[in-house]
Amino acid sequence: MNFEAEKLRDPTTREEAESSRLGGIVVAVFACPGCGLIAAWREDDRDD
Amino acid sequence: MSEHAARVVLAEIEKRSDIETELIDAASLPITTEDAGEAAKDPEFAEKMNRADAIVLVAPEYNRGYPGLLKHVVDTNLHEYIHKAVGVVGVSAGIFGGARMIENLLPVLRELGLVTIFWDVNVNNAHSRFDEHGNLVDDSFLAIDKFIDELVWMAVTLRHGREHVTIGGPA
Repeated sequence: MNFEAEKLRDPTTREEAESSRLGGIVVAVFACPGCGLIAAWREDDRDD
Repeated sequence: MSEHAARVVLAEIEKRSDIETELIDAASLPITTEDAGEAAKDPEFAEKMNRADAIVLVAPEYNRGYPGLLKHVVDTNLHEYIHKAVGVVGVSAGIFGGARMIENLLPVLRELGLVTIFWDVNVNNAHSRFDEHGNLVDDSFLAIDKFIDELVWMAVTLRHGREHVTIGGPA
């Protein structure tokens, strides 16, 4: 694991994270169907 | 289980102030399969995408790819997505949590004009992460907080860019 890269990816270590306090944004959570098919997958031989 | 994952992510985002969220079930959208692309646009869905500053896609992995219906639905819009943030939550029964689905989906999102963040949520072993009511019972290695932090940062930054920065620079 590249710990330095991991650290850089953490927004809490970046000055720019301050911007996230700006509010009023809209986030759409878009869910795709197919849950039933996942539930039907064999659990013993699927590796994905 | 994608729906369970979507509700968990939605709940986490809703904990943050000043963020309006909406859960959209792709299966419930009245989008025809008789046509494709913007010809199959649903005005209501298009308006939701137009309003959004960021999009979270929650999708299962099928045979290393994303569901065909997901592609059909996202293809119905284009300019609504441009310069907006997108994050992907992969869901799978196996150990990789949809990682290969996400890798396949990223170039599609880029082509649509969306800006992908570099955090994903990989809901692996999905069959054992939720109880019978859809509650998350195992949140190990999901790092949803980091995913949302990055998504919000990107959404805020891009909105500033859309509103204040002209492509090509000042005239």
